[in-house]
Amino acid sequence: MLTDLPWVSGSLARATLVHDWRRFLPAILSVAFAGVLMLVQLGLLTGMFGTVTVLVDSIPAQLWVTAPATRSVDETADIPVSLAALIRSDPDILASDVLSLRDASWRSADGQRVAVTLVALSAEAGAPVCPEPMRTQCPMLASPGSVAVDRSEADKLGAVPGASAEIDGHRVRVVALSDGMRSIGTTYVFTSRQTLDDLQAGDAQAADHTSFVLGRIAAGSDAGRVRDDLRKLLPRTTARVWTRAQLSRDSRHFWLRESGVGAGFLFSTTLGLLIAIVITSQCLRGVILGQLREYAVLRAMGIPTRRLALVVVEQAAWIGAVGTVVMWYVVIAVAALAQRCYVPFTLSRGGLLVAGGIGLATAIGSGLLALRGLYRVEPAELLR
Amino acid sequence: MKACPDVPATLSAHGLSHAYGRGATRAPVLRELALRFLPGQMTLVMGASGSGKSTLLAALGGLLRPDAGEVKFGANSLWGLAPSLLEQLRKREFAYVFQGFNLFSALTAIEQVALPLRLDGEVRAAARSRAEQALAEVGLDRHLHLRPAELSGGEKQRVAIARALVKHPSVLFADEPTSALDSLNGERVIRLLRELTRRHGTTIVAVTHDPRLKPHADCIVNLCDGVAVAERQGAAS
Repeated sequence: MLTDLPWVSGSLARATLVHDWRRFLPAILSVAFAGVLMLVQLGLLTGMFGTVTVLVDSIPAQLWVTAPATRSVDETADIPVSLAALIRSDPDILASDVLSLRDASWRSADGQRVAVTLVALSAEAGAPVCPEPMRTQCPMLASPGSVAVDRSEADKLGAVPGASAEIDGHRVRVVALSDGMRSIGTTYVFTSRQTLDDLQAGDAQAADHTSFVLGRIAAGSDAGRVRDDLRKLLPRTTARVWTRAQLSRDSRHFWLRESGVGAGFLFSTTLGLLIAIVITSQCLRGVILGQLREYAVLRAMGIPTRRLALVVVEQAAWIGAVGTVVMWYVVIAVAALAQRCYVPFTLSRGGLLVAGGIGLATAIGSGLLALRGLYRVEPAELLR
Repeated sequence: MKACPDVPATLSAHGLSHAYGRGATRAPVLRELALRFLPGQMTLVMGASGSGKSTLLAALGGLLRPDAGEVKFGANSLWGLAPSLLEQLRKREFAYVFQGFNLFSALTAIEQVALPLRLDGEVRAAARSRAEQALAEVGLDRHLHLRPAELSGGEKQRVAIARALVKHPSVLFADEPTSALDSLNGERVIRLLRELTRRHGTTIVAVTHDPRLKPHADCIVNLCDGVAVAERQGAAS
């Protein structure tokens, strides 16, 4: 057992923590608070940026062809629809399709105007461009003039199933509400390619162009290799080929860099951790100073300071561990609340583990800082 | 100066001098003391406040390096040892009971006594068994699981004595071991120290103001301004 190792002084560290828990509570809460601050920000940021790539992440096609200058999925420029047929010439491509995004103006029944982005999908459940969460809604878009919006945007658009609205002066009908297809920065209105063509009637060039060409490959095929093959097929000046994972990752990184929120996140996380270090080390230091005479007796009895230091480090590690558990509970509760309120919030197991590790390291680092007090222990002082 | 009985000493001091402060404020507290402490005997060091009793105890106990002189434990010159060896010597051979009980408020009596053994690398079961035995010796076998807040002053001091004696030290240094206790508990602690000394052959050096200890001492050293002004055999011998 760990506590039976000769250098472990478990009973004192744990007993003091349990007995004097009120003294340690601020340290535990500060570690938990720093972790919650970090994870909630991270959850909101990744949730928010996850909405930027919601189309990439939810559409099952593994390969995406974009305009050559595209840096993020929301930076769209037109490419020829004919590329869909071109990529199908690659034997690894099982199916190809197009996905078109167009800016439009929505006018609800009560006259409210909202700038939206039309997302034109294939109105088939199994089509490479039908997002996974919309498998039941895609076929409902087949009827001309049908649109779907995300449930989280419904209030803003005044949209309920069966309601009518106008897009660029054309009447449309809301046939379904989707879940989990919300995007930051724009409001998606899903429709079929046919409805989009009807809305753009007269724009011949628009009909020959699209925003993305998507390819589906066989299960087990290496998307990276197929992408490289397609890059040889398509001139670099015409289009750029991405794997789904690559486009999603690069889009999020682009937003993190360009928006400046990455730096803000780092700043506030560092600030939170610093506060936790100060509170925890001061708390441990206070406990050490309160037990200086008891420690001095042990020093007089020939117990080396480094062994006493282990007691403090162990106390710090327990503070970190308990703080981490508190942090996890709070963050999981926040995530549940966010989901209930349709707030984009992403919580990953890896993020929880990393935050736990940082919390533990913060507490142990604070314990090491607090050790200064222990080195002031002078057994001869007990005799004055 | 002649020591009490003329037998080989466990602990001895020669030419022990120490002063606090510097320059004009320098105040000598020990002046070329020569003392011997015999095995299995209890020596009281008495004297007025400021006479140098506690400084003497610290120098003898390996806690405070004197300015001059030598303290010998067996063949070892204490202050000639490397710090780590002195630490080892304190750990193996010396024990201390201080005026305040200095017990950890979170630990039960058995945990207090087992703690130095655990920190010295002893496994939990063995440490607890020895602690239980030591507490039984001081009459606290029914208070093993009580914390300091649940113990009387006398019981706390007995826990501190059990903690000091659990390692079976050669020398026990006690600083005012009865000053915080009422007469009944003080008497009990004195008798206990005396009995344990006889049973284990431990040498006790106790600094005290308490005249109740005199009848139990084998030897009494009276200090005045850092000098042993009188040394005599106590009533116990």
